[in-house]
Amino acid sequence: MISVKEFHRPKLGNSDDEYEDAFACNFKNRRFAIADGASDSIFSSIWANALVKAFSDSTLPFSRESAFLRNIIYMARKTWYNNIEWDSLKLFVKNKALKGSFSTFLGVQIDPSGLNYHYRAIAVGDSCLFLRNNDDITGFPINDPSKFNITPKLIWSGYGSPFPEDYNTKLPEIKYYEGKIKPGEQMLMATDAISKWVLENSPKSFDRLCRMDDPYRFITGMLEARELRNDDVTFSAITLEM
Amino acid sequence: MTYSSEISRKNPGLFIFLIDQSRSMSHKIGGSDRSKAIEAADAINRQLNELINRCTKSEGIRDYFEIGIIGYGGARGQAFSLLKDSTLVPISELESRILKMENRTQVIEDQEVEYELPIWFEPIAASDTPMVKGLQLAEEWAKDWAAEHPESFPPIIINISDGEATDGNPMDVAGNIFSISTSDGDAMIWNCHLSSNKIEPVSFPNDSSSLPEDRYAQTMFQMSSTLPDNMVAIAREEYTDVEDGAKGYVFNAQLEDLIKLLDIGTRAVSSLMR
Repeated sequence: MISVKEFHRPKLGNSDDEYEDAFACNFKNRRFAIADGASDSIFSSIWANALVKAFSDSTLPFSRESAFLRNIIYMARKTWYNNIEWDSLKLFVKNKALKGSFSTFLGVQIDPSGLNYHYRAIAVGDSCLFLRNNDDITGFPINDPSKFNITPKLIWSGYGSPFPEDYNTKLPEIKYYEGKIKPGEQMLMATDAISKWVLENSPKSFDRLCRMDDPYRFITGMLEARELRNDDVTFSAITLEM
Repeated sequence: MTYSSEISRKNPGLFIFLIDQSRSMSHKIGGSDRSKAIEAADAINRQLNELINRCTKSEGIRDYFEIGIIGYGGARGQAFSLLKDSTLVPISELESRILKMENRTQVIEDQEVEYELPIWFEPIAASDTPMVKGLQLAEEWAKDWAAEHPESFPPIIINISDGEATDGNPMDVAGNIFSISTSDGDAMIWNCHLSSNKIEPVSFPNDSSSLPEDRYAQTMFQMSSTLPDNMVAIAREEYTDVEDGAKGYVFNAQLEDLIKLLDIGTRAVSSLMR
């Protein structure tokens, strides 16, 4: 049995419509995914959502082969492409949309393994998975708060119209991670701003986010106090029930 | 002085473009059959396009910047705003000030793709070169703006010229501009130097010894700001040859690459695109 608590809010000054992170889970597939649409590209929210849905809902077996992520991107591109009304875009939006959208991506597959669970994670960019490790935490793919910057690796949607929806895009650098987790333990998935804070304040930060029932006031307070970079914030605490 | 202020609609930045419209701009660019005036108009149109591109989101253009555009030398001894009835405008207002559209094509992935390129300014090469007057007007606007936006990313002044000022030494007024500041840093001047000399283009040098043999290059280089460390760091993600202490100066080369280096959120590194 797995349970999930998810929180998100847009950066200060932006409306809910302008939020560009995404999270999705599929309990049947035991898949969980988080993505951070690049604010410098356009239709990033559609692209981030398409990626997390394609991964979590896909029944393709999880694999370290690049063909697995290529298939996820291929499916996500179709969703992204079909959700944009290419013919009615304004001039500047159209010129930029042709260049496609970008997003980070982190997907996790959790499977029972004897009395424990086995997790496998795939990542592009700086959205992170955290695990409690005795008195510390381990972060993947970033475990050092000084490593966050504004040029993370990103998954590209490929060019917009007039390129066809089944256009094959270039694969970025992909990282994999796997391990065992016991019943009763938790893992945390988070986008970059809050991930950096988690690493800077570990391990208390991990426990605090996992236990918090209503993080809105806490997160907003940290954004206002500039303890977090002003960015969309998304995190999800996953608990492997006993 | 960190050049790290968030650029947002609530906390916008300022760009002032200066364009040389003097008679000497009618001369051809070194090694090209196009005049400096044509290159200058192309440069400002491209730079405005790049800046608008950075500010465009799904719903349209977000006002991350205010824009001022000053022409000098279009009439004898004069420098004035090229935006009719305005000095500084929110960047989204440029959409309603487009002069004409040009249909262009580009080849991407072996496919010919059509797109429309907005044109705001056409080439002008008319009179003398009152660059000092142009810079003084930019100084006035930037000073007022910085006082009203004390915590914003500091003003950036882009000067597109062949460097042949006829109304004095531009270094003095450039010094005044460098002393304008917000809590985030000093105002910057970036120079796009167009020359008739047929010399290899130079981009973002950090040392005057690497400047081309052009009589105005030293002055244009000296009146260019050193790029902030964080911009140099971003530049190195895409270009390998940018040194510490690089200046916002190009010689017969494109300056809009600098606009790509501004931090307006997570950047989509273009090298991912084929």
